[in-house]
Amino acid sequence: MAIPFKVVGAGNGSTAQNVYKITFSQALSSPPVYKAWDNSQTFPARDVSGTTTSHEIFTGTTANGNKPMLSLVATTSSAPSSNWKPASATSGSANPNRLKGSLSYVTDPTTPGAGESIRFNMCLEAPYDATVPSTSSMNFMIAITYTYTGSAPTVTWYANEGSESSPVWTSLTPGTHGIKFCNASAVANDTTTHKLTLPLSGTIDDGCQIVTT
Amino acid sequence: MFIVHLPDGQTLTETSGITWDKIPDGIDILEIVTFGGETITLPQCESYFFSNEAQSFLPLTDYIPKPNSLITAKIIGGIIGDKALYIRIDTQGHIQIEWKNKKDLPFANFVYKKSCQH
Repeated sequence: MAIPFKVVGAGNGSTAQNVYKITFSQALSSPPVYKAWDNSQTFPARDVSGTTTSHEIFTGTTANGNKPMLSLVATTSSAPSSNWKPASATSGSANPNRLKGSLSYVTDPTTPGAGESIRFNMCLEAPYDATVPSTSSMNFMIAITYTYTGSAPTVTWYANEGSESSPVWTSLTPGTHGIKFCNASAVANDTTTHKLTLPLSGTIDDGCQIVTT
Repeated sequence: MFIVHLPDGQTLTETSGITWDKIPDGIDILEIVTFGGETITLPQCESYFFSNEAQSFLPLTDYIPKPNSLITAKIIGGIIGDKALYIRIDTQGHIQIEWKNKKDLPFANFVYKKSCQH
């Protein structure tokens, strides 16, 4: 297959371990940390560093109790249970957690050696009163923070377009591809379907995640 | 960048291309030069640690930019008993100095280099 494609096993209802992967070409010296920040740039640009969490995806809305909307679970060591999305953010590090800058984040349970990888899954929970259109309110980025003592590692992000038992890891090409949180009915090669429809009440989780151009 | 002084008078610096994983045990004096050019000399410790901190970003619901890594900080420090002097020097000019419990440090064992005093 080729881009665009639906990421296999992505989202909260999944117990998959092989969804997203980050590979480090050199050994790290501590477990890497996932954090999420505002992105104030319009694609394909992005901020050079993450410093703020003022967008609605982090501040939440009245309907969701002002919680961060993005959840992440590290799956490097084990598969998550179904419905792994936590009800609330945990201050500091927890796995899984709702991400909001340095206030709440996820630490991978491993310290990768040269050529090794970490794996994770994500979920976006949108409340019915989220701002539409969400062009800037949902404009954000996740950052992997890592440390090393030797040569600087090359970091490569992947998504799985195969299956859980036989993953096919496709690298995300810089400046060309992106990930969209969409309805389950979205069709990978039909960009007009790449949208997430808000519910009339309560919240909704993304139905699929699509790597697209 | 770090500057390591060994008991035999040899000086090993990060700017000369030496990485921390090539530093031997038996450090006499350890110094760090901040991004602003100031040199900080660490006190005598039983062992020392150092790591570069970097970040790679993945924008979501948008395009993915170049995933090239960005060095964000130098982390250096020393161990005294069960405590650690932890210094984080970021590229914005901030210097964070903390006393931490050694057990709370995230680093793998190979990061620690013994002092020549111990």
